Amino acid sequence: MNSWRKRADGRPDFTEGSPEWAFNKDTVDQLTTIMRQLEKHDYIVQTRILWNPDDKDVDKESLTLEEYQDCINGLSVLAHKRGTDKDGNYYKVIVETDAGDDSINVLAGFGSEKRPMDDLWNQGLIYHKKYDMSELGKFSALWEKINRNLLTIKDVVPIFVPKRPHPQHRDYPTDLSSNIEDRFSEFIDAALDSGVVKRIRKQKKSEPESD
Amino acid sequence: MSNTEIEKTLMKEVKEMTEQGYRPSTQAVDFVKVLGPERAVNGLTHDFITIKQHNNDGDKRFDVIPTETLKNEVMDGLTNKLKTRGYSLTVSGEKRILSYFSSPTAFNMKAIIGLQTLLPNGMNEWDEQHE
Repeated sequence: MNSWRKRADGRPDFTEGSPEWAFNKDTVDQLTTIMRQLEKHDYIVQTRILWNPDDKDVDKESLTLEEYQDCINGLSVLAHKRGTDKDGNYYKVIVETDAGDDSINVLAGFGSEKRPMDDLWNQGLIYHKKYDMSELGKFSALWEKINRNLLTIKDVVPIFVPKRPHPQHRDYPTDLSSNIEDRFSEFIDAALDSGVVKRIRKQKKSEPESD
Repeated sequence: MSNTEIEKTLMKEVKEMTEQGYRPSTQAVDFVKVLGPERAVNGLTHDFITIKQHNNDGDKRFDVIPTETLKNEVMDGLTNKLKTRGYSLTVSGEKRILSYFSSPTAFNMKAIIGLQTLLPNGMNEWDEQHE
């Protein structure tokens, strides 16, 4: 039988012993602070343990503390603003740690109850940054920005991309990765649809005049 | 003048303005909320944004507005980048984007920042770190 301490909710205290940074006590405290800030801004917050894919189905009850910790890949805080606007849009925030590369990933932006993710410009993400454990200062600075800016904005302002490439847009990328050039392609497509840009027409070569 | 000196001068100007009774307008508050204080300071030091004072019968307010520098940088950058991809702004499209600058609401400022993010220099100058 396991001798290690269990928390008040009956779940194992994985911060005991020698946990990885991704789920040690300091990290849990930092995530808890973030959760409190989100709740203060009327976000519904959920937390999850992210298991290593191979260990998802392992019976965790019989494991030692070290074995239990080995099954953990990181922690996740998922939050979304209570309620939506009239079009079904809402703000959302995900903060996740990863023991695999000792990183913390923050994704914040908007989601939609009515439109699929791929319809949202940059998949709804306004902030998307990953920091390693030596960059916690940078992470905190970004979180402060999110806390001061995104979480305090009352109106949801989503940007959508058209479902299908505009007929004039011939180099539309098929994948929706988030690099600048792909996002620029998405901008072009949305701008073609709304008449903000047009394709430059090739100048016809004039026929040489005959004598 | 270094960025730090420019910041100090700006802070002094803002302090003097506040002492004279000027208060941020709703537009200025929303604008800085969208940008965040660090970007607001960087925007001022790089002449991307400026402060415009109003005194309507003693109601002293100030707006934060984008400058010609920012307008030129975004419009030129966007035009050139579109050109390299084989596109150009339509007349109505150009008017629409210019209207973001002439009516700098929080929404329009988000659009400007969103566009600048996609341009070659991106948000580097807005995001400079200071000692």
